[in-house]
Amino acid sequence: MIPQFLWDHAPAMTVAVPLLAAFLCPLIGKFTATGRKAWVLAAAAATSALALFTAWRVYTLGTWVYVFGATVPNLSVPPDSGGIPIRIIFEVDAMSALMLVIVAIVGFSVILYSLSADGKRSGLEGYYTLFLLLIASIVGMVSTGDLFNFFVFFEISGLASAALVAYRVEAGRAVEAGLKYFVVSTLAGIFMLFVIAILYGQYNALNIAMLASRMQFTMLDKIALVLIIGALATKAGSVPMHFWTPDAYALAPSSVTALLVVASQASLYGLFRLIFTLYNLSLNAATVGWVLIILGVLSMFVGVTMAIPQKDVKRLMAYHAISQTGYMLLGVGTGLAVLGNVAMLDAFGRMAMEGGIFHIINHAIYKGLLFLTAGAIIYRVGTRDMNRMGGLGHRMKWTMIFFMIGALAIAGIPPFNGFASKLMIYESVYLFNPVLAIIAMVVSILTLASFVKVFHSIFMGPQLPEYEHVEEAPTAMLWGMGILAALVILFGLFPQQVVDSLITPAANALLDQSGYLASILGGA
Amino acid sequence: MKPTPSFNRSLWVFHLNSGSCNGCEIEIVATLMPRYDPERFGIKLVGSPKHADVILVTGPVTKKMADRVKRTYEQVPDPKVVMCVGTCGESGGVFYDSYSLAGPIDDVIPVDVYVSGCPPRPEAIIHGVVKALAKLERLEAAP
Amino acid sequence: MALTLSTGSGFWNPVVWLIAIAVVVVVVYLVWRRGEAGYTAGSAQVKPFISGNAEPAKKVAQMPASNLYWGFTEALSGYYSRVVPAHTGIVTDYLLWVLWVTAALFLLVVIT
Repeated sequence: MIPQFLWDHAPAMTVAVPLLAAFLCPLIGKFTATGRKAWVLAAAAATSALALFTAWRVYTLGTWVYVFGATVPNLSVPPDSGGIPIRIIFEVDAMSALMLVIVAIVGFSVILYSLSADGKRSGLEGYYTLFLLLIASIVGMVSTGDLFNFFVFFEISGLASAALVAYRVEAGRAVEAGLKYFVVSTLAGIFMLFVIAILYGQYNALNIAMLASRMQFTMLDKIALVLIIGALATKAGSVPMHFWTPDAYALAPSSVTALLVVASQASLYGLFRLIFTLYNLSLNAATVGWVLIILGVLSMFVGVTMAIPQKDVKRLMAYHAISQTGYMLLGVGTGLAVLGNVAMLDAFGRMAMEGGIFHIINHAIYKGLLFLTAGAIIYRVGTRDMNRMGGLGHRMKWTMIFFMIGALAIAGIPPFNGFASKLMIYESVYLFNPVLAIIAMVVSILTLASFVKVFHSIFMGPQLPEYEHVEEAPTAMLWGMGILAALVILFGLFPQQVVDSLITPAANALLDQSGYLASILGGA
Repeated sequence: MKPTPSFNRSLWVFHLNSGSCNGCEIEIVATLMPRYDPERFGIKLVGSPKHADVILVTGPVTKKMADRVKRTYEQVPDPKVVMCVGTCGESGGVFYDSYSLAGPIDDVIPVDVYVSGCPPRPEAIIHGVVKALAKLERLEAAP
Repeated sequence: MALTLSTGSGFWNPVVWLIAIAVVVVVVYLVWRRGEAGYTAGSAQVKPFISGNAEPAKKVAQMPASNLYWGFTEALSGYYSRVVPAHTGIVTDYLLWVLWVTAALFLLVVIT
């Protein structure tokens, strides 16, 4: 039923299809604009299908190793190479598969949304090209098993994101935000380049599995580790390197913002991948774990307290994205901190990691939903300033319902998905250190407070005379939001299914370095 | 107005002061206290006219309060009983013919029961409540 | 099909929770139905009670979003007066933050 071609080459196609489609966009757009829309939608659908297929195969059959340019796709160590994997290798294990699922879901919903949200603007030749390029780069970042390849996709995503943030050239401020994002992203990229230079210079390999097997944790490796944390935590938007996040997220078009969230999470994935698979127990797990925990707690607290006084709705949501990233760092940091201690790892370390990783997918879905609803409101009302909005609940009923679902999910209210992952984080982190869990709960309450403020000031209140003409958002946008909202509810009602099928394999894949190495190096 | 059987005995009272000297207020509070104890019948003071069955209006209606008395009366849900406590509401009392009055209460809102006195004793107020209940029974009997 | 999410030290079953909430809602509804309607819709009885004053115009009465949490921001003014100015908007400051944090992490991870 599924062609053999896909069985062999799906990981590569998941990157190739959006890449090719991206660069054909301007050509098609020259002839027909609706043709371009159809092309983009088809490309997004194809990419999502391929990503889901890859993820499904990885979850059922195990890690998928794909070697570019070899005679057979899984020939990672050619017989004449002396035991070294020499080509660019995509290693899709369960954690990568989870990120592919996220990209598939959010990418498709966001492009469906963007067809009507940005459909009437000019400059679309470049817009959809960059959009599909961003999706391709995120897929590449999460699938690759090669450090330099990761850097390449990292830079592509930085370029594409910065250009997309600056898309609204007429508003000036968006261009400034794009510039800020670009500069910070380039600094992070330079750090990554140093890391690659350090590791390559020492171990003569770029493949992550090869480096992991040769890792000796010298002083240079410690420096590399710190640079990795600095660079990737910056790109993920953790405090105190988060300053670019509100600017970029607020001024980008809303569909782009939802995808930027996924791009930030891909950087977070890179951080976890490099720490857990490249270094694993060779590093000082307690120290690095606590570093991640401190970054996480700072992100949570500063993110939410800065969100409360904001009056720009997308800036407020960007601060919340920072805050939720803190939850992921807290959960996975706790898992890392007890990595050396098997008893604690089994008692709560795995649960904390599963909570943090579950939070990644939950956050991508509900944050995407929230940004899309904010975009719908801005599309109809024309301003991002909450002081001037009010009473929109009378006219935009579906948008209000979707916003409510997203806001309750992010605040961790049952029965939505945010509650499930936050419960896992609270209970396991409490066993590690009660203070951290209490801070997490307080931040959750402040999140609810902040979204009550947003909900009240945008949707509640009497119908204002200047918004008499406002109607419900267009259908394509509603469908995009609807897909994400349905997933929020679904993941909330059946959390154990999601954890068993998607999250636990991912957490185990992160913790189990030897499995990763065995897939590529063949158990050597 | 079609009161239910429990309505007849358990009346929730909202007190509205339209400019009184507070003498009647003190007597109303004395009525509700344990010495005469109407709370055993379920009669209690409420804070919002939207919860009230009975409006107890005291004081002559000053010009500034006239509009507000009217609006508060309109916001009380049916069925409702208006009780005027004290002679100020009937005729102006000691403030008769003052420059600042908008008239006795029944110029502003329709009144069902008058309790005279300056201030009326708690027994008189209870007698007024009994009359209000009797009136309600008459209204209920008549279709 | 396991419906219960089990964390190591607790459990959470959303379907059972929803059923419980649904039962409670039904009970509440049945109790509520026994009450009286008590008001006539569309009359002055639906207007808010503001001590008898007239309801102000919609525009005047609406609290803008920036002022909704004044008490909170005022109480934490010691915190906000330091953190908010740190968000300068100057990109070179952002780069300085990244560099300083990386330097601090150096000291932490490399030295210990």
